Amino acid sequence: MLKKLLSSESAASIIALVGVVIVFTLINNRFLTRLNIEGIIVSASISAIVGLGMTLIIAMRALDLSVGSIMGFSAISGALLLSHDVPLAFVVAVALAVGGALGFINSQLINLLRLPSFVATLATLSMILGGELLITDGATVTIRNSMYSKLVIGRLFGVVPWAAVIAAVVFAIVWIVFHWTPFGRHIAAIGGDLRAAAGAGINVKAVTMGVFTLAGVLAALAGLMVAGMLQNADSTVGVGAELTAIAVVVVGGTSLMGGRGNLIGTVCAAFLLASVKAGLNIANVSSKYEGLVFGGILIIALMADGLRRGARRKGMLVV
Amino acid sequence: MSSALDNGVVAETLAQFRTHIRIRGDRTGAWILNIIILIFLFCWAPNFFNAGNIHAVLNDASILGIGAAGMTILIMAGAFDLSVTAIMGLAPIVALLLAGNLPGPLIVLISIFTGAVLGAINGIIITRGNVAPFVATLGTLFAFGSIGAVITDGNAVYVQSPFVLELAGGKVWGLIPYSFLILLVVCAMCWLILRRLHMGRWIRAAGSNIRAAHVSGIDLQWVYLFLFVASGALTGLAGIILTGYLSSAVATQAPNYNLNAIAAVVVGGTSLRGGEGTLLGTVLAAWLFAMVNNGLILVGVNSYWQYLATGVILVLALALGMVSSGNYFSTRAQSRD
Repeated sequence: MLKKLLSSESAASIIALVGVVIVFTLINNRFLTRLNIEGIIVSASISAIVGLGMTLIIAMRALDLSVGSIMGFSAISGALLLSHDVPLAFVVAVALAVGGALGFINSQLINLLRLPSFVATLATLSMILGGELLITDGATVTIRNSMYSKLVIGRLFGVVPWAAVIAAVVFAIVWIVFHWTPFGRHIAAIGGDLRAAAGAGINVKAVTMGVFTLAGVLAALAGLMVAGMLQNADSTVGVGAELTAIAVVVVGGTSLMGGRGNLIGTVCAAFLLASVKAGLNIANVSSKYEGLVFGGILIIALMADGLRRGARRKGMLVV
Repeated sequence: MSSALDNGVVAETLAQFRTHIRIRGDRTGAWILNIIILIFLFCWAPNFFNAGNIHAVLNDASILGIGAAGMTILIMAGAFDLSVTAIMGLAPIVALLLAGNLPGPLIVLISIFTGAVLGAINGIIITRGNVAPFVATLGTLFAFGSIGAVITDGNAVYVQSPFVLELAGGKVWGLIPYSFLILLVVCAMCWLILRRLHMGRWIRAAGSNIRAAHVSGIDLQWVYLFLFVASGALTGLAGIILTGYLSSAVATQAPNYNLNAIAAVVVGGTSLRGGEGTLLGTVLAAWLFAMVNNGLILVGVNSYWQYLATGVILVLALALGMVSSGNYFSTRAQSRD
């Protein structure tokens, strides 16, 4: 069992997560208090939701740089609708639909204009951010609906934060879609070899549309959760989240080469990132060191992986 | 003298020239957009053409262009450097902290050197650790950015040296900023490397087919180490110019410089597939972005439109490039990375 775990692709992130938890617990025993753990769970749930969408995208050997902007845009549209006393369920539905629509636009730029996903989503990253700023005029939209924030930081049965429940549901759905449906197999097939997949009769455009739309919906969900946690929304929600999400996916053991996606690894890496943040905070280290620690973990995890593979193909580089 | 130009060399040069013309058709998008926007500015914002304004736009374009020139070579070799955003802040900070009171040229050299060292760290992680450049530099983006914030405690470091301030502020003939002359020198050096040295051939070989390059005996480790050191050094140079422009250095002084540089490279017509690229296109695109941002302010629209404009330019330039080169209609363009 242990041997199987160590040889699996998520091994690096699991080991790093356990290591980080042990180190921070030794540094300060307040690390394992209920309040701190809940904070970690809420923050990890949000980045895991974005990361799961990104895992599917990367499994298809594409990238989505616009998820951060989609988070901000949906958070702002949700907050604006709430400030006009629109019913909560309707607000959530509209914000998710907005995210899905933005993801759909990404997929159409890729399908119709034949842009590389990197470039198409780089363009929409900028455009959606511009849209956010134009709608809000750079101002912050406050959320006064107390019910809404409870949906994120409140607890189910007084124990489990709702954020974790939402993330678990998302994980289950993404897992089933990716591993148990033809659609999921097609994602991996396209990521493995686009031409072969197209030759085998897979509708590449339809799959691209589905994956980017799904990633947009998930990013919108994460944006709504951030807004619920902060009780407000502005254009800074989600800034830089795309690179963090890619880092989370990669630390989780999914290769940018496509063809495979490690959903469990992504969730572990999201917990790893959240634990590092919370741990540094509790150890009284400035949040300025977060990047150094997380960047260091990212590089060490990849180098460990790279050296393991490098023994086989010396001198060849992965580019 | 003419004996050196024997027939074989001439034929080879001509053949090379033809392939360049064919491959570089992608610059069309950048050219067309440049012309359209210049006409637009000529009609609706004539004060764009004031010497002072052109100076400012050239300066913005040069700061982006110097980093983007390095990024062009990297993308030609099939690699990315996402850490340039952090190096833009960290290199000048280190230079100012170490040598703030020394003569100006020394500050610039130390900034370039710091950038080169940071680039070497990238290169060593990538070549020795066998890590893909995209993710390796994503890691160092977080790490270098964090180091910059830690050593300055999030504060600004002020520039005392008049030399550094002059890099962006000084001008030749009342119009051209020194930064633009530096950009020209940088482009000339990159062009030399790409077209006149063995390194350039190795870079293009590695970018178009890395397995073939490896099999044919090219020392890929050396090529990529060189590329990342060069990219780091150029970013250190761009960083100190930006610092002179802002008269202080902050760790986060160039947010999104990595993505903007990649956008400039792509709009210029260099394919993300690697193997070929165009420095002139990159410079044209850097000018295009700087001109549009400046023009939007002159026309008097809200500065938030800049973000929309950046995205629209990206999409338009690529679509135009594809249609003009016939790639859009060919089935070969279906590979999307």
